[in-house]
Amino acid sequence: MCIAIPGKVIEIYDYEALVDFGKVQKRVNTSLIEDIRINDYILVHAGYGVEKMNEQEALDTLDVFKMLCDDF
Amino acid sequence: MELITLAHGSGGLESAKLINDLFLSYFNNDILCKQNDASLVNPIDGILAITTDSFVVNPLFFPGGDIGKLSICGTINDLCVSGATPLYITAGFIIEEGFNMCPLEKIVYSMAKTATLAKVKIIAGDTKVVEKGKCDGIYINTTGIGVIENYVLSHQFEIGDKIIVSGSIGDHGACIMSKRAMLAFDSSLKSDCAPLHAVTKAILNASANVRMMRDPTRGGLATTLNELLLNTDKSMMIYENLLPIKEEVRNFCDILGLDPLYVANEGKLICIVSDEDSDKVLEVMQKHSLSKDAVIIGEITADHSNKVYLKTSLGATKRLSMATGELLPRIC
Amino acid sequence: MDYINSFKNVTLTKKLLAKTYKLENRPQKLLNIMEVCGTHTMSIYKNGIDKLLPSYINLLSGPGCPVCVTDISYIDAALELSENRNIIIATFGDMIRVPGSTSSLATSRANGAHIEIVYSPLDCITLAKMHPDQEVVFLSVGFETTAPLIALTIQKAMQHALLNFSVLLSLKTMPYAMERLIFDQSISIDAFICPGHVAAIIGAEVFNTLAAKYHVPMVIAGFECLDLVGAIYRLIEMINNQDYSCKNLYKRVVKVNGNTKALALLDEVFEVTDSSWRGLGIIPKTGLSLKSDFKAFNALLKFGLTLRDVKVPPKCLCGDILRGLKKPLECPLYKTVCTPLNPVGACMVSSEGTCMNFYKYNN
Repeated sequence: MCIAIPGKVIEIYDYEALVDFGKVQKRVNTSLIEDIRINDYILVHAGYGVEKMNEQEALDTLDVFKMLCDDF
Repeated sequence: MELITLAHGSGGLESAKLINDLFLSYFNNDILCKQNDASLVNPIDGILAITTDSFVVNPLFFPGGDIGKLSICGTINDLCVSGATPLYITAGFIIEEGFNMCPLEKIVYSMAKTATLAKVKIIAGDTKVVEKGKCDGIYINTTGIGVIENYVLSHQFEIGDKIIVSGSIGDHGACIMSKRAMLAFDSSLKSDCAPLHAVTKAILNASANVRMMRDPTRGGLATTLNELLLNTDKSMMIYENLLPIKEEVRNFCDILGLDPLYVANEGKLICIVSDEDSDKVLEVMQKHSLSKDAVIIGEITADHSNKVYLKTSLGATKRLSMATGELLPRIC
Repeated sequence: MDYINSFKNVTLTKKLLAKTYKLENRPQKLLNIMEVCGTHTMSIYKNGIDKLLPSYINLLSGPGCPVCVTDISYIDAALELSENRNIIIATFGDMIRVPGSTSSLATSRANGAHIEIVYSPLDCITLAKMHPDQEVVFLSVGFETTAPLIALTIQKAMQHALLNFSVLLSLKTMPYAMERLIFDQSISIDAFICPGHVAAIIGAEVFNTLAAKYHVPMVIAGFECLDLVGAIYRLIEMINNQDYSCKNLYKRVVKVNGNTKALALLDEVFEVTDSSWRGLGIIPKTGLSLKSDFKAFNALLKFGLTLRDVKVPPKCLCGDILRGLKKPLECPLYKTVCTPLNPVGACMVSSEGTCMNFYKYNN
């Protein structure tokens, strides 16, 4: 129901950030995400940051999926 | 800052000055400069191809081109994909009162430059000016005339014929959408607007078995592929993992919920050619800068359902239908 | 971006798909797995996942497309506002073609209404400043992912002391709607794929509670092909093991308690109400309305409109289709009267609507 795409924070302003989605950039509202840093990845929906992407959790989830395949 | 006024379209002194100072000076050629009511051309030997198109793009200027370049490329490409060598173009302008002379000159220059590149003469024209608010800046209509020099394309598909696309899809439509005021994004998106006369010439010289060519403009590749199957008894299979899509186009489309298969192109063509000649045609296409990313994306199949099928990267087969309605960004 | 793109890995996804065929179907019946998110619907269709699963898996597309479940009366109200030449309607693109009782915004635009498609409701602030003599009304349609954004926009409008901006709300929330679907005797849902981005806002715990309470296995899933196939694989395992919990497989974005800042903002700006879902009727506690502090931004109040009670066109089966009860082919209007060019129900309008997807992608 909600298209949200991950993008990399490349500049930070007051409550906003310039986010790079891979050769496409947009300034988005980040007031609802704590502690944003340059190079963080955030999930963006319709011009606002929904949440910061957690790399470790992503890798853990990937491991879960790999484990499901491993004894195939 | 000189502006276009209603007088410029009224056929009097101001009109004559506009024609002389602007149109004739850029579109300069022996035929046009006679300034007759109709232009006379020498007899043309061969089957003629004639096409017309109108251009209302907004914004008027965009990365990769402008409405002027588009108006020449669009018509030239329609002639070229029909197998014709483009010879002559006419240009009709509808200009809004108050339009600035500076962008008008840029547009006209752009048309002249593109026409020269394609070795096409602009041999007739017309200008009307409408009251402020009655049109969106400027609209252009171009009609093109070409001649078949190689052969008439058969439009008869055979099972196993290969489908080639000349390069990345969705570039133009994504670029235009990204420049719309309320959707403004910063990106390296660039229109692929380009005249394809040299590419089609190379294709037709390389093979006598080109069944059909078409430029996938509005509605994108998916819509054009469906159009190609009308009145045939064949189907097509296209492979998702073979589709050439630029990174920025894919990402922009992802953000807005668009599918690049349905996004317009203005400098690409689809070529359907016999299986035996497909590698040869691909090779000559890849030698040209405008089609260096040409790739075989699928083939004609025996299925009589008259449909375009897509095999997804995961291996599922689904139908690829025509676009319906305008291209709208989604939220959900 | 590597770790993010890993979920698009086709090789791994194909492996996992093949592995689903090694799983048992312990209940020995057709398993109804429902997703309630339009973006999940699109991803499933786009990748063709529905065509690649074992035949006992029946993927159901529930009422997860906010455009599809927007009440006809809402569209009629939007149309009435659009007829006012002092109003600019700002909207997400998907709303343009949704049919009301007699017309759509597309038709209204053709008749001269000023309608702006925006990427973000935050763009309305600029729009309102550009047109100080006109009112900008934003059609606020969405679920919990979009609701914080509407709240942010209203806050920004207040900061800029904008008097010419308001919202026409049709915000809906998921958990009680899912509960309604579970209670619906006519459908039997064996498992849910939970909406990943709604979960990012409201948290994983909400779904865990639902799963345990009603004994329905659930997985919170992301949107790439590996996410979806992984979620379905896990759900089959959970059904087989009678595991009535919610597994969070989108932890890279979804926390146990969600986005607490967003939730606090929702609480500040909105209050929970009942909501009317097109084709489903009224579902209690599934709507959001503006609290009284923000009533100046309520377009219905500002322009003295009420939402009329409008019946769904007879024979339109969107309601049954949205609950996963019927498939598009079972609707008498599908492809005969109701087509992408002339949609009757919202399932055919929205590019995430079940009927639209069926029409576009099926042989």
